[in-house]
Amino acid sequence: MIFTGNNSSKRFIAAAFMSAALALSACAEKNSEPVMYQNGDYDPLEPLNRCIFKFNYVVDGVLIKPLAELYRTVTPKPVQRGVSNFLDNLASPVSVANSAVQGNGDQAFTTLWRFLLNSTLGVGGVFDFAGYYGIHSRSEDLGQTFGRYGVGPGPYLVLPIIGPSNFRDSVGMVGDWFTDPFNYYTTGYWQAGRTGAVGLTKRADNIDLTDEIYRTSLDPYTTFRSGYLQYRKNEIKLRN
Amino acid sequence: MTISMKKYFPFFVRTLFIAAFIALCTSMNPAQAAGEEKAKAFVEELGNKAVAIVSAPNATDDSKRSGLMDLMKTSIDFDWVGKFVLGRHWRTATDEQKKRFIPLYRDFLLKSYTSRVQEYTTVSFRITGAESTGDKEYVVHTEIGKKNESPVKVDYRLLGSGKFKIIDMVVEGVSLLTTQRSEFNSVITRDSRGVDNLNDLLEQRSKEL
Repeated sequence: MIFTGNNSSKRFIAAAFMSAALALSACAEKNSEPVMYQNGDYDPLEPLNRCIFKFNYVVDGVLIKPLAELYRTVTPKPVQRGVSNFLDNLASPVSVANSAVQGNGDQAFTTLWRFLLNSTLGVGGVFDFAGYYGIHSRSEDLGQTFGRYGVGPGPYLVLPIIGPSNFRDSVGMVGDWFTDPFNYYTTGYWQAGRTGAVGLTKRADNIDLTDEIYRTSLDPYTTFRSGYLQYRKNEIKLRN
Repeated sequence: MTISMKKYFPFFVRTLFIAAFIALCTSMNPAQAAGEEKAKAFVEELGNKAVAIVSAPNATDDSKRSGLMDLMKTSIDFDWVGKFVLGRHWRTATDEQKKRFIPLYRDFLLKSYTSRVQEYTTVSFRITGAESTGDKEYVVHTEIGKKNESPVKVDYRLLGSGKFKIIDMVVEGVSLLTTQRSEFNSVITRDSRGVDNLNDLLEQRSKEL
């Protein structure tokens, strides 16, 4: 739609992006206040993060969550699972590489084996053939690899649209993008579509959890921060 | 005693003490192991009771909610948890603030964990292990499974020996207590009224849940 629409739809999309950029740049001014180290969570950019958090909340409420809820109610469960399996399968090569670099040969082989089985017998990854036979693995990314090698999380970051992250994991995400074989020899449309699909399915998966947080938390920003940092720390610690 | 004995006497005594200490330590392990078994049994019983409440044949949402709340009231150590969750603010809070906080917090916890009873379908849970993490402190590992989804790892931290109370729940590495402590710290420090602000918010939110 973005690339092939007529002039007026292109203008609309451009306007949407510009207003988003304006809203975000308003956030940039917010960080002139002094830094804080909150309860063991290193968050020197808290004012800026809170601003982006609010931006994300609005965009989520207006666009992302409604789409995710629509996807969740309209799409049959087996199809949802197939899509998730397919997308998870695409993420395998990066996971194999990171498991290997972390020195976890067993996990690397298991993930590779799952990838080969599911891509062939699982018809392009749509069916979790390996999982059906009890072959499970953990997914690893570059942020976890850095963490394994002792790199601390760095400042907590709230990324526009993407949400909670930290400095190390954000750098890791960029690295993962460049090491993903599926980002080479594929078109921009395909990559954008894949990224959108991953975002949508992930959002659909965590709707109940995020609803619960917003319902019970006295300060959702902090709940997300604390939860995310603990979760990442645990992921780095766990091995298969 | 000869002179040589006198010189080496402290050494012998020290060795004897060390040997006795080691013997005492190793003999403590059976007690620890028994404690771990009791901790597991406690969580197992609690889980079974919870499942029974949720899947009772003529259970209404109200009966489920009140049943679960009663179960939580007796199995959670609210005094310990309340003190921990305020962190350093417990020391600086006035007695009046503390007296107001504990019951408000207890009410808030009970309400927030049982407000979605209508969605609590029968889940399977199994105990996968337990260990002692200190004097009278235990962690019991469980896996909670919903149908068609991969099981979620939930750990319960318990305090006690023989009789236990829950002090924390850790879901996939995220400690609910730590998260809430961060949350309350934020609420207290971002408002000039501090703990009073927290108490007001707890009271207000409990009414809505």
